[in-house]
Parts: sequence; C-alpha cells; structure tokens
Amino acid sequence: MSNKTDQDTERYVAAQFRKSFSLGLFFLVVTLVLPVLNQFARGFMQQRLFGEFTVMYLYSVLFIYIVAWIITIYYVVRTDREEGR
Amino acid sequence: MHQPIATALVGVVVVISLTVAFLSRKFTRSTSEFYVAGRGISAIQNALALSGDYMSAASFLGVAGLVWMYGFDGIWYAAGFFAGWLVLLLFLASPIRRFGAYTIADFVAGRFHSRPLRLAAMIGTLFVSLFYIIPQMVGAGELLGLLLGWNYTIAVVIAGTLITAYVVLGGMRATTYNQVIQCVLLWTAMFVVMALALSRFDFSYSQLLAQVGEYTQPNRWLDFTNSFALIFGLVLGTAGLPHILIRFYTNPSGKSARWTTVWTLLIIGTFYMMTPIVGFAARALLGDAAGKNTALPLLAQAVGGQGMIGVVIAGAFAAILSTVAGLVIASTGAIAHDLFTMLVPGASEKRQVWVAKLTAVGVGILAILSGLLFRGYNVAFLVGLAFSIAASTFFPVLLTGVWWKGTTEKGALAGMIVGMVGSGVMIATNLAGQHSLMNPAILTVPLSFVTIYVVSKLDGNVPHDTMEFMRKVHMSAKQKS
Repeated sequence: MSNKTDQDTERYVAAQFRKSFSLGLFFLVVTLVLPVLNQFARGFMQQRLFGEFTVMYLYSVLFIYIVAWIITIYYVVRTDREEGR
Repeated sequence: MHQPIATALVGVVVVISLTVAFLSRKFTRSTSEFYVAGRGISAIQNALALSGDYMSAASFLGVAGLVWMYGFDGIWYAAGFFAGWLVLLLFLASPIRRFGAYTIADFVAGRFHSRPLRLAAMIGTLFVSLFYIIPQMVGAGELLGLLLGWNYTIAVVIAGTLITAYVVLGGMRATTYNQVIQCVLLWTAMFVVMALALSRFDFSYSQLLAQVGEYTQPNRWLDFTNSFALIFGLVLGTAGLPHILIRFYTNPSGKSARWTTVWTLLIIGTFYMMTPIVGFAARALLGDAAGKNTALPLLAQAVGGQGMIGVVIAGAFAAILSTVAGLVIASTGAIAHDLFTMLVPGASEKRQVWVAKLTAVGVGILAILSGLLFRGYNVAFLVGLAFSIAASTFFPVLLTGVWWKGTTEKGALAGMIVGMVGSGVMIATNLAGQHSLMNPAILTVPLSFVTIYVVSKLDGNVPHDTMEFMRKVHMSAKQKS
C-alpha cells in the first residue's frame, strides 16, 4: 500500500475515533455523573418532578436509557451512511 | 417447597433445549460452524441470542434481589449492565466482526502476531469466564433447590450436564437458537411479574414508590466511592466479556454487528427498566420475607400463585442455561482453538471439532465443580467482580489495539497482565478485608491503559502490517475497493 493510502486510512480512522470518542465520553459523563450528583447535589436530585418521582430516580431508571438509545441510533445511521459513500 | 407446575415448565425448557441441539447437530462438522455458526446469524436473531447470553441469573434474579434488599443501590447494577453496551457499540462491535476470527485470543494474536499474547488472552478468557460461571451455577443450585425442593448438588449437576450436552451436540448454532428462545422466555416472565405486581398498586408506579419510602434513597449499601467504582466497572466490563465479544463473530458483516447492538440495547434496556419495579414491589408486598436471589420468584408466587412462580423459575433456569452455554463456548474456544492450534498446528478440521467437543465436556465438569465449591455466594455481587476483571484484562488492550496504531506487542502484553493480575489481587485483598474497594476496575483499568502506553512508547516496535489491520477492521468492503 502506498503512503498516500496509509495517510487516507489514518485520517479515516482518526475521524471515526473522534466520532466514537465524543459520543462515548458524553455518555460516560451522563452515566458517571449520577453518583457524583447524588453525593454533591443531593438537594437538587431529591426534588420531586411528579408524584413520588425525584430527579435522581427518573435519571437512573429513564434518562440514561433514553440518552443511550438516541446515541445508538444516531451513531449507527451515521456510520452506515459514511460507509455507503 | 414442591412446585409441580414449575417442575413441569423447567422440564419443558429442558426438552426444548435438547431438541434444538439435536436438530442442530449437523451444523458442527467444521470449526466455523462449531464456534461461530458459520457467520450466518442475522442481526435480530443475534440480538435476541446476545440478550439471552447477557441477561444471566444476576440480571434476572440478582438485580431485583438487590433492589429488594438495599433499595436504590441495586439500581446501579441495572444501569451499569445496560450502559456498557454503548461502549461496546461505539468502539468494538464492528471492528471485531470485521476481523472475522473465532476467539478474543485470535484477535489480539492477529493484531500483534504474538504467541505470548495469544496465551495471555486465553488465560484471561478462562479467568473471566470461570468467575462468571460460578455465580450462574450457584444460582441454578439455589433456585432449583429452594423452589423445587431439589438437592443443591443434584440441581447443579443437572444444569451443568444439560448445558454441556447441548453445546457439545449443537455447537454455536444450537446455543444461539436456545438463547433466542430463552431470551423471549425470561423477558416475558419479567414483564408478566411486573404487570401483576403493579396491578396491586392500581398500576401506579408512583404509588409503589410511596410504599417503599426510604428504600428509594441511595447509599444504604454502597458509599460514594463504591457506587462510582461499580458503575465504572460494569460499563467498561461489558466490552471485555469474552462470551459476549465472540457472538459478534457470528454476524455476517460489520454493519450487521452494529444493528445487532441496536436491537440488543432495546431488548435489555426495556428488561432492566422493569427490574427496579419488581424489586421495589417485592419490598412493598413481601417486607423482609424474601432473599437476595429469591425476591423475584417469591414475588411471583405472591402476585400470581403457583402458575406464575413456575414461569419465573423456568425463566430463571433459561437465563442460567443461556449464559453458561455462552461461557462454555468461549472457554472451549480458548482451550480447544487457541491452545490446541498453537500446540498442534495444522490439525485437521475434524480433529479440531473433536477436541472442541471434548473440551466442552471438560469445561462443563469444571462448571459443575465450581458451582458445588462456591455454594452460598451472592450472585449479582460475584458477576460484578467478573465485570471488573473483564474490564481490566481485555478492554484496554482491545481499545488501544483497534484504535491506536502505536500499540506494540510488548505494550499490549504488559497491559493485559497488569489488568488481569491487578484486578485479581485487588478483589482477593478486598475479600480478605484489607481494603473497602469492592470493584477495582476504577484503578486497574487506568493502570492498564498507562502501562500499554508507556511500554509501547518505550518499545516502539509497531507491527509491520498495522495499517493493513486498520483498513481491515475499520473499513467496509466498499470503502476498501
């Protein structure tokens, strides 16, 4: 393979990594911030949004899941499109 | 207690599993068929199989049990088990499939052309898989013993023998089809119990939470450090579990591997959303009259009588069978494929398949013995430890191997050993009461990454075909042409 092809591959892999890393980091922060907020912002996390559902509870049993599904669909559709070009 | 309906339903699961294996027996004539089902499993089939593989006794019985016992802290497990799949999708699923091998050791050995790495990956696979098998077998013994009145030893032996029989008979194809059926069964069982339990609260989730009061608050069990460490270990551990990673090899393409993950996230996400409801319902309806691993079946009995407990026991049995079968295949590949082909290069396909089947019998016996030895250990807790070891042993090596061209053989080997030994030592010293960190991945994963980086930089001997490898695992056939 020529150096030019190697450079193309490097550029492509770097672009793919940036995409995966930014989405992965965002989701890791979304997930790991939960115990941090429970520890350092307990008042906020204990606020009731409706009924018995607090911010903390909805975050852990609903929000994390929805964020993951959105990221998943976005990533897969975008990657399929890029590979199809 | 004696449960005739449950006994009959468990019998049905057994008959179905063996029938599927018998019908799949012709698909075990080559190593490709035995280990990866000829790479012909569609995305949805594979997602159901992966979900069945992943949702083990820990997910089915353990999470609900922990929520019943500790309240909110048990929810960390549900969130962590789920969240790890996104890491797997973003960084590893597609590249691993594109490499197109049989085992994790194949992958690292192919990337670095290294026999020591192949050996280390083989040992790592066995280490992680055994740690994961132990709680499943303990779960099988306790569940069948407590709820069907079976002797613990007999229950473990029956479960182990059945799993071994269908892996040996039908290989990965039988394992896949059984996991699909088992996934549907255990998801449905969880859904029905949740619906029946909520009906006791006029289908009001909020009313249920009001009943359990303080149990919705965190830190009844885990302090801040251990909560954070647990989530960290579970999220990264999923991307290092050999029995999960090898399932991606069964997809026809990298694109199919990605869509498999999408469907899996949907199936397991909805499953894990149900587990806190069931755990809290057990607390509200049963009070203290349940157990860490029996809250779900006892709740089922309370809300649906003997018929419902039968469905739950059958679902739990299915969860155990599907997970242990996946682990037996992964361990078999580590010994019969990684080690045997290294010791006897050029062995015929027929001989390799024969060795694989013999090895599966050996692994099955090991699973039975481990179940008997570790009787009484907590299921979800032990699985959490297996995730920590998987995260520390495989995730850093796979991530850097796939994405960083500067990784060298020595760096990868050093990182894998540091992760595996470090997590093992940390867990052993925690169990011996020398420190309070229960899930060490938060320390050992960064340590492994640093080791890989430093040793690779000092070594500088990057494999000559690294760019070729990068093209192979990151680009589609269309992009390469």
